[in-house]
Amino acid sequence: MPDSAPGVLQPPPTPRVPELLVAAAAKKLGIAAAPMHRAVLTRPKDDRAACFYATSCGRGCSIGAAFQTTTSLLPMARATGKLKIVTDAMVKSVNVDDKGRVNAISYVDKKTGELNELPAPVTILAASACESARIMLNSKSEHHPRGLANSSGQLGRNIMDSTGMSFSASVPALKGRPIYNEDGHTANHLFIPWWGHSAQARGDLNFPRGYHFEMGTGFQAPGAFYPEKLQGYGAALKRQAKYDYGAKIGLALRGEMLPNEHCYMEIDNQLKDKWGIPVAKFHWKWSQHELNQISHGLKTAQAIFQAMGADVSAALPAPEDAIKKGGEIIHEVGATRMGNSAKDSVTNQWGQTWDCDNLFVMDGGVFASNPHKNCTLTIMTLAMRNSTWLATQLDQGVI
Amino acid sequence: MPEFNEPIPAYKSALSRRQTLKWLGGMSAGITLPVISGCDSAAISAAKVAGRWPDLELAPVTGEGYGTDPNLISPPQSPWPLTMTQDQRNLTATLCDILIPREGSVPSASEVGVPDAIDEWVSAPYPSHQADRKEILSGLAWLDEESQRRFDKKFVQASSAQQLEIIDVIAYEEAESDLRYIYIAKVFDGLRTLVTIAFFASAEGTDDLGYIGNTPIEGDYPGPTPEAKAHLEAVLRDLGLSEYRYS
Repeated sequence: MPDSAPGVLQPPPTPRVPELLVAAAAKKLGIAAAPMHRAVLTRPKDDRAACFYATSCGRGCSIGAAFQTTTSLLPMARATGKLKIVTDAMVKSVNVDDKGRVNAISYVDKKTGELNELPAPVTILAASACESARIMLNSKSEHHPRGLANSSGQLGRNIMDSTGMSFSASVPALKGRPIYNEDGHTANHLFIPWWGHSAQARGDLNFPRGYHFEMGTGFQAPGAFYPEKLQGYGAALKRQAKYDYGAKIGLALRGEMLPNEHCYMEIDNQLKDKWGIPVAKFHWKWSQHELNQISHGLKTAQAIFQAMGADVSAALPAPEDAIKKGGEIIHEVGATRMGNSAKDSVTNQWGQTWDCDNLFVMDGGVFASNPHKNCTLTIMTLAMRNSTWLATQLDQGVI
Repeated sequence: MPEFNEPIPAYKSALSRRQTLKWLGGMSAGITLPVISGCDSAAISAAKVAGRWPDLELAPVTGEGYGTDPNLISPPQSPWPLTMTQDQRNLTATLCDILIPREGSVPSASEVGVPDAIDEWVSAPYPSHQADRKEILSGLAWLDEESQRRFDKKFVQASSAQQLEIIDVIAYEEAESDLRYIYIAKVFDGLRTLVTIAFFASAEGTDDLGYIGNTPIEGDYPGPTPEAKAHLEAVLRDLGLSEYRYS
């Protein structure tokens, strides 16, 4: 895939020492590292400030540098004067009229417990892939006996998550090194994008699709760091902990999964949540593709650590043990997949459900495959594209 | 022999629950007590028998915790009761200061309140914390019983030399290949990790560690200092990676 054109991306933050060491070790193996370009601003944009390299992104960014809906999108939507936000609203079902078209949403007011209804000439579900599918599966009616917009039977099927695997070790060459502010913008400045396209084209690899490595490194805030196995006590113990500080590197694999018939969700007929809404239950099985990919990742990570001089001579775990559980990476997609035909997909290319022209899904549910890159940016890109199409449809009176 | 007559100073907390809960939150990154890996349950039982492991039966804790949808704006003052007894806190404080004693102007682990963090850790009602609680409290009981066996007094009443006689047996990797000490050595290792992490997560410990970060920077992130860059160059040279330098 070509890089973005000049001027599209903001300058990435400067790489740090352990990342530069990983990059050199990988390059020796013929693998290139690249700037990560996380969704954290390094230059101001709109009314959002550039990163000030303090506070953890995951706890919310008060200056709006790290992307988050509350500071990055909702203010823009609000500025139109056409946005109304109903908070503490737990959607229970999407309701239809006697022709099977969506006409209202039922939700539980979480503060009062009351069931309320909102009229809905057009409904866009973007509750995250599995929750949107859960709402639709819970919205059965005469016209939609297997759940809303489920004539294909694909609703809740084809669920994918990123594959995940972690490989970490302490790197002796990084022990006792000069301390400096290594926080940066919290996570990766560099990462290792998939490099094996040509090997796959030659048929050299026993799995399709790719993966990338993220790097967890640095003099992280104390409390989150885990030194090597400590020995003894007293002054010697403390010396060891300080000496080992900042020497640990973790490589986290995130890879692409293919949909398979064993990974799906359905409504649990016994269990309801605290709002009285039936919960979803999940079925999961990795295929040999994903396991082969993890084996490849384990060997690659081991080779990178060897090039850095780390002791990683222990036997590698079996891929079945090393792979994270389905759902653990929280990149679930595919539960309402898009497609070319109403027979084997839930929505068309615009996120519009085949069975209901005024019901759209604009979250990761529409993905037909799972990119190994994190899915949020693609979800937003599709949502913007599909909303634009929906607006023209409304303008033209088609819907 | 003044140690028989001097009362053992009781460990007292100088911190509020919100302070210690916040501390606990900062410590919650993937720490669990090590289990005896690769051992089946028969081997673990044998280690417990050989090590005279107390294996305390504890009444379950009663706190409910924060739940899945907590009020983050005004969190509860204390979502669970602290459960350590004063004796357990005193023993924990003694261990804290064996592990991380005062060094010059740098305070010891108990001086910065680490026993409070350990009490929070074992009192939190979540399953992994409750699994740690059973091991840690059994480990404290083992230390008292071992001290009784050797010196006919509880651990905190033993002299420093006597205390270290026990700790020297369990604090090093060799103990993990001795059936009599493997279990306490593993539990002690877990406790040592908790104490070390808690200490360095305190304000005084963070200063001692030398962590520089979480400080607002105006303009671009500066990256490595000249000294850090020079160190990297030396590392790349030593590992034969100079020609693969990232650019």
